[in-house]
Amino acid sequence: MENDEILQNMLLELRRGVLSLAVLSQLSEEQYGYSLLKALSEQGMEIDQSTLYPLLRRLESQGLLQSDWRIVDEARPRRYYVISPQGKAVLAKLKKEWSTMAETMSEMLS
Amino acid sequence: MNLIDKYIAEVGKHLPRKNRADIEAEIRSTLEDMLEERTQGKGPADEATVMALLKEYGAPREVAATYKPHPYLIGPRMFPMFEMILRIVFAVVIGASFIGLGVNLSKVGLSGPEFASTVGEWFTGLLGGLIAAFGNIVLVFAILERTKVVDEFEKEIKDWDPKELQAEPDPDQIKRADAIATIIFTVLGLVVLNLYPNLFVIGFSNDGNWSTIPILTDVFFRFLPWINVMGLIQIAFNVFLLGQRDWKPITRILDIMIDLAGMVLAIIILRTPGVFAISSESLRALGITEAADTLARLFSVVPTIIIVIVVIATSVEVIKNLIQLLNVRAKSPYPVIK
Repeated sequence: MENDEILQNMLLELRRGVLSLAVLSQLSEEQYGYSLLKALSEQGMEIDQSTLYPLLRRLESQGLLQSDWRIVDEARPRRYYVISPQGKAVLAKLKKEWSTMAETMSEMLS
Repeated sequence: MNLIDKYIAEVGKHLPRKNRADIEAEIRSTLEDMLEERTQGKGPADEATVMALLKEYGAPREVAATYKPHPYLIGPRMFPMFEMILRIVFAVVIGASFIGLGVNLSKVGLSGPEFASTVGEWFTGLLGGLIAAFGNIVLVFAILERTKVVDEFEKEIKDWDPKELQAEPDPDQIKRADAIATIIFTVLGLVVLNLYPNLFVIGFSNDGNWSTIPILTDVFFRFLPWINVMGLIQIAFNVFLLGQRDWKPITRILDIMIDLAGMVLAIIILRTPGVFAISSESLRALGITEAADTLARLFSVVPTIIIVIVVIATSVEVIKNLIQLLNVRAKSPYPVIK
């Protein structure tokens, strides 16, 4: 395997876990898929639709998100996602874990 | 139908039926959002913009694949077991095939056109056998992967206790060697029945000419699908046992049911008239005249003898299982650690 490919795979693995956390953190207020995608990208977290939508579905099937189809401001129907109470509990724990991990890693890497 | 409709229909073809409509609606809503952003609300988008958007969104098959929960046929948890069984079965198929080759070569000799054609047939038979075996194993494991069995495997691994290493042999422990032997012999039986049915012959020398008569008739081979199903169930069950540490009531009951089903099938086959080709006519055709009737009459009791043997063997297995089953139930659910 080329070094570049190894790097790509490792980045993919690294991002996979972080993305769930990022998505959960941005859904305290309801958003539809595309607006979430843009919100994430504006904050520097680029994500493909092909990754985001299945991820949203998975988080919903795990009970961490809720969603429903709605028409807001006379636009076309969109599916709105928002974090569930269970999702909030999980997010709080994840945040804690994340800050510990981030601290540890930045110390290790400095 | 515009391009977006066509694109969504194409994605839908590869989506799981259950969520298809919902996923399609979501993709449509996203595509329309993206399009609106690109045209900045200045009327409908031109074809080039739509094409660029779809190109960016990805190939329909790829997009659909991201929604599929089960992208693998045999998962990482079952794979080591799959590999092990594959090795065993391939070894058996190759072994059986060499035995078949040896038997055939002993008849045709080691030279001449018949030798070449025998080797040729052997090779294509072996190739076909390996491919068929591979297909069947994949099938069995793909089914196991999609049942609760895979969770049972996980549980066994999670429940592993170092104390097992010093435990004394107990009657509930599953003997891996038994399960492996059953798998090997079942595979062997299926391979021979399916690929080398012509091995079931009685051969004898008649005035210096080697002649053979087949033992089994087309009537028998009409049962082959049933025998195959029974064999596959037996293999699947033993593969499952390999992943288990102890016999549990449910596995014992399954074992009893499979034993009984096998016995019933055997009895049905053996009691069907005309499954064996040995009759006074077929013997006469081979030049045995005087003894034909006697031999045929002798042979006619063979099915009955086999039935008796099968019934006795099955009963022994079933009774052994029943005794253990009743013991298991009487035992406390909390084992005493010695």
